[in-house]
Amino acid sequence: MSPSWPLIALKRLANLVLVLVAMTFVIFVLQQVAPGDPARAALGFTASKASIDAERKALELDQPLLVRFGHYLLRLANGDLGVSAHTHNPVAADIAHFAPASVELMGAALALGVCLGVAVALIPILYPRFRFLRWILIAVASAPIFLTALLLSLVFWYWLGWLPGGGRVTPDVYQPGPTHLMVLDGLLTGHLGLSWNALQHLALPALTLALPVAVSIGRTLESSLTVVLRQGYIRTARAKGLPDAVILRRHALRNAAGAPLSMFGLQFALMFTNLLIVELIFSWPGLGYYLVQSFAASDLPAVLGVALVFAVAYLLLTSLIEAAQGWLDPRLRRR
Amino acid sequence: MSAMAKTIGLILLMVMALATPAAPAPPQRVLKVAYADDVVSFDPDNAFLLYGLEALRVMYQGLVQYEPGTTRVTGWLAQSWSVSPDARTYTFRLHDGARFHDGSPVTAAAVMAYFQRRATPTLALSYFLDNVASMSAPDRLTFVIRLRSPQSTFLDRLASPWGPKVIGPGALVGHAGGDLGGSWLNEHEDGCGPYRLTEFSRGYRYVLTRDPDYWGPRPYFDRIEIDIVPSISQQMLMVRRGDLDVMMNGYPFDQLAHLPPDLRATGFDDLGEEMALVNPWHSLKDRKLRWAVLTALNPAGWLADDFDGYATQARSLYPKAMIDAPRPVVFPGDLAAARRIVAAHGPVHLQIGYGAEEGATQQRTAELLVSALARIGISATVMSMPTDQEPGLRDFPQRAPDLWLARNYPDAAHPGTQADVFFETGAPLNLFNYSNPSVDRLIGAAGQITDRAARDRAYLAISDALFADIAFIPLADIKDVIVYRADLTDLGTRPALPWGVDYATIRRR
Amino acid sequence: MNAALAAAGRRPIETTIFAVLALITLLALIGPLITPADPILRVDPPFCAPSLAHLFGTDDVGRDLLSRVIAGVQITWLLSLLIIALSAIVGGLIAALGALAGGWVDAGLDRLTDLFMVIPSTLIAMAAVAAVGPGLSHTVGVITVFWWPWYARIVRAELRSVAARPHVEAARVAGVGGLRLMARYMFPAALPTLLVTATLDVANVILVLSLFSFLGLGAPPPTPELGAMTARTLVDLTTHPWIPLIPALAIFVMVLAANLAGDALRERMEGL
Repeated sequence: MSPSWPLIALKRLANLVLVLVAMTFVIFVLQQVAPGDPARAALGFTASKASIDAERKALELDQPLLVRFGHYLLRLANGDLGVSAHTHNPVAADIAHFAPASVELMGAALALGVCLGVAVALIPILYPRFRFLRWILIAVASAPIFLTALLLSLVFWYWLGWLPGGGRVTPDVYQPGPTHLMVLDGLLTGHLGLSWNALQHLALPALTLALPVAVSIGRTLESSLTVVLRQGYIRTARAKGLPDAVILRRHALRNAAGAPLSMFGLQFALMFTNLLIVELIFSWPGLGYYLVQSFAASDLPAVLGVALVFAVAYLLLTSLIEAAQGWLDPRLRRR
Repeated sequence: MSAMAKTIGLILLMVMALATPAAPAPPQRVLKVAYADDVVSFDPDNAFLLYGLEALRVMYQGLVQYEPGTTRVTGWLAQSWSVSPDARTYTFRLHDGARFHDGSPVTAAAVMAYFQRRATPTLALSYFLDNVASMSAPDRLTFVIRLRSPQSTFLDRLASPWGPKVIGPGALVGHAGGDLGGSWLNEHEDGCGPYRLTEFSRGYRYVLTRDPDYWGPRPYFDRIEIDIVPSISQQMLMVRRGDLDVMMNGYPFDQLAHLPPDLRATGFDDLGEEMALVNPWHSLKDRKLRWAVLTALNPAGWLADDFDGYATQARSLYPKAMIDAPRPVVFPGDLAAARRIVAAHGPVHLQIGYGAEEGATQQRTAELLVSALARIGISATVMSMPTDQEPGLRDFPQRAPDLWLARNYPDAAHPGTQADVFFETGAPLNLFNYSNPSVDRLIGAAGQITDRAARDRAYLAISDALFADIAFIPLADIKDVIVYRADLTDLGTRPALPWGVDYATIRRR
Repeated sequence: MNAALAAAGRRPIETTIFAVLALITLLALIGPLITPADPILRVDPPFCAPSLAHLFGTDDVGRDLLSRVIAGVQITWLLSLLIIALSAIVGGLIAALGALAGGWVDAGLDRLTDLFMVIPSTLIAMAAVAAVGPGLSHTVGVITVFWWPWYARIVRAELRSVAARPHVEAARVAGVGGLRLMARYMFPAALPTLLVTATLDVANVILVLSLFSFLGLGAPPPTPELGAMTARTLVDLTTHPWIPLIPALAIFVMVLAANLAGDALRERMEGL
């Protein structure tokens, strides 16, 4: 019996909403427990009592927790993420401002990570004399991300001067574009110089973020492939005289892809912490930078906004991965 | 087409795109600087932080300002002023010909409209005008302020980097919105200074562009580009490679002696004094224990490690640039006695706190103090508190740190602004609720004295009383160090302007 | 004993790895007792280069870096083991509970696991640390809170597959009750996978702990935490590189040893 897609999608959506509401509540409660005064943070020590009181009223700080939470959910249902207590802009506007940088960085890192990961997995299988690669991979995986960021920055920027060490683009080259993803904008508006410049700026931070992804996907894929390649049907294919590359492409990779896909989902969750550090070290003005700022200022609406965005992205991605796994291995499809 | 050919084609295309010369741009003089954090707001009535002050003062102008390198008040928008004999009426004569960036003239009426906005209680810096009874604009260029009672600090407050800076009617009226223009002015400006805010990209950068119609002397640079670079180490590397022209704050002291030949460093005394506030409500209730702690905290023991010669021991509870005390405070020196007191007291554990926004420098100082305290047998840990939790210290002194390290800046160069922010009962930064009626009386009396020497003596007496009470510990006068490219000159630093150069005067040789 | 030595001789690399692990654990346990100097006391001027007096030099406050790194290794290593132990116990128990109770309890616990896995963990950690203040116990607690779901998932899957095995089926048919079945047949069968996962996980936990410490979410200064030591001294990277790099390298060595050991263990289990 084929699965009923609309029903499944609806179930998933309900699941998503439930999880998001629960998460929002958890963060709300934690912020309430935190001994801080966002009104004072917004106005400074020397502000008068009148200004502080007005700010507290604006931030609804004196209402009970459930009332504030209820109001928040209502506004959320209308697409309103509230106003940041720190920047005084609508949170949705702030997120829209900072998101493209993070999207570009994470997208580049994930893409690079997957490509490197596949390469890293295939090379020792296709060219057995490169088995020593494994040790290098383990070494790279063992380095904390701030160490790799520092070393890459030192070597390629400070000493060799091959790549820029921070920011998204050189200011003189910058042209605003429709998507705010610099590389894409450059291609769309015909300013190839912008795309090239943005790529150069993207290189080091994306590589730093991609390394853990590449290594874990690579190792998972390699071990998974090794298991698959020992299966009976592969031996048959080899006996039939099919070249290795064809065997890999047609049979092995498809069957081995399940585990690395799960690893990919896991890496995305871990990438969040790494993103904060990489954005800090490379002066990348993205959501990670915005989040650190918001936390320092106890800016609850901003923190919630970023948390929701990440949670939604993560849930969507895991759904996609599950769908991909289902497509790859029909046995896994739900009935 | 094969994959190979496609790749070569794409590469050729990119090479051609880069080789095509860009349209020739007019040679612009650009100054590149960086902040480690976004400003919260460029609204002069809401901007209470340290970032952005030097940008504010070239976008907006106040009535008076401090002369470069001094704490003397001189005219700005006001070319002269007079004070009535009863010290309650200030009459300012404005320059003729000053204009806002939208072209409208700076008149006394416009200045008054702005001052009325500044006095609105919901704005963070409205308290500057707490004592104002009334204002008037008898003619086009005369602006009069009448105070409720004589206030010796008033003129200094007007010259303060946080002081009133006139916003034009274009913003006050045209962009009022529901909050007196507050949200618009966060990221836009309408002033009468030599630079306009032409770009505000939160988290990325701000750009100030020279106003070609500015009514005063033309500044050297056409553009000031302020990048947001949160990482200090990144800023350092940028300034060393020439990607930044000036690093206004944060260059590690121990590396200033080894600057590359194309960089210079200049240190100036500013108004931020490094102080420790003592919490007498918890572990340090015992006065003898406080005395022991004082002995251990003697700056002579750790100052050189911390600031490498760019700091001197504080001579009083006022920064050196404010009052240079002839006879400095003397710390007790008997460490053995201190150790005995601690041993007799039993195990002591102290917490040293500081504000997170003061980050790296305070952490190092705090850790040096931990080491100093360990020498007399006291164990300590360090705690950094987010800004919004600091006011909570006075509500819960039992949970607050035992020592609070701070380098707070008073509003202006008059000692009265230091006293009424820290030492008075109920003062906003009197974090541990220190209250001493005799000190309050001394502060009140000192506020009345107009002769500068007598005034300083009176305020120093207050400092001695507070030191004897071991409530506030003066630690160091740390120089404000600016690292800049060697071909820059006329930086225009002022003690009252922390972390900043004067964009209106700075130029390349 | 002879057989063990002979076995060790046959696999020199593996032996080396486990020897390194043992060394690190030994260092973690007794290291702070044999440090040349007190890790929190300033002993000499700051920024001294490595020398005979100070093998790793002094840091930016004037403390002996070798002593601080040893103390840091203790904190990181022992805390990581603690986090994994707690997560495995909590995760395993919750999975066992779910499998035992079945029905809506199982579904509910699964939903709960889902929730924890979906929350951006750093966010919760930052919020929690801001709420309760910095401290080693807080960090351990917080990381454990979002670490156990992975173990719960793994144990649950294992229990499911174990439930279908013949000897378990036989026991159930013979009338062995739920709790006893779980305790004596099912859980022990799931244990090997749990242990392998835990071992492979040590490296991850050390990395996460050091990342949190780098962001300032660990113990308050002057506690020597390796990630925090690097973060604090980034400005000295080009002039006194040993100060930020040595703590980072210490983390690297620990994680490398854990990774290699985990790999060796996994190879042994997979019979490769």
